[in-house]
Amino acid sequence: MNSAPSSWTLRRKPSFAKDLKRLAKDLYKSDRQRQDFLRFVVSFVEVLERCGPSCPQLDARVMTGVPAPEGCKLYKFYLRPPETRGASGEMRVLALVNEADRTIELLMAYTHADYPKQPHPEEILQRIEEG
Amino acid sequence: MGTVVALKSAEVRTLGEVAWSLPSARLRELTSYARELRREVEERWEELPSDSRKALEDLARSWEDRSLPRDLFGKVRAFWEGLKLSLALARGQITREDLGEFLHEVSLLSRRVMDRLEEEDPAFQEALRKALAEESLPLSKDELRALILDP
Repeated sequence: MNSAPSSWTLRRKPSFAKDLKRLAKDLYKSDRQRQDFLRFVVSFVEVLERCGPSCPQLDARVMTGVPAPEGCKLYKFYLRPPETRGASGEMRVLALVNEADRTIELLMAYTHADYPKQPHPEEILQRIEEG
Repeated sequence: MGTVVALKSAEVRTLGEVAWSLPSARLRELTSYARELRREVEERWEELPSDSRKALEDLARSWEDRSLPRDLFGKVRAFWEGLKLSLALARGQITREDLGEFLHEVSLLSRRVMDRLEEEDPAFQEALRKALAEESLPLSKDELRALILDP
């Protein structure tokens, strides 16, 4: 981000930009809603930039089940965007954090409507039959 | 493995039922059980029996999908459950603290289960692999604005 002074440098992967565009389109229908979503995302990014990934204002954890590149940690941020319900309201942002360089690369943004996928309808039926 | 053996699908399902109709002592038991389950999910997810994993998945998904119902029947039911909860709190059958602890623990448990399911999802793994391989670019507020306001 351009605002100074900055404690952490934020960058983003093309996947993150694509995800954000898709989420804005899928989650919100009106311009007013998208404006609220923009404020929400900017606020998240500003906190990250100012305080880093371990900021108490953020709900985050280091992902241990997925290997990260050497010298980096993979962080998952748990977010609740405005005016969302259910699985689509459980938004996650993944970021690669290099604490030595104080850089954060935003990798992906998604909701639980994207991952993990709901079981296939046949599997749900099978589960019902199994009791 | 002691705790793993003790996991029962039916008990996991109890966590997702209307626990606020239970007295505080039972609620505290369930809170403690949810905490143990979370540790199992964090440390030994792969070792859990498949029926326990399915029960945990069902719990997590139903917990995540909770929201005010839109249909009349659902609204009436939610009102009734809310009324029962208010009465139980007013009568001192359950305390706000115990209820708060319970809800917090079940939320954490559901989150851990969803984290595990996500990590196992091949589509997620592929998307993450692709994102990690990409070149990163600077991030600006103007770009965020364009991405979100002109989707």
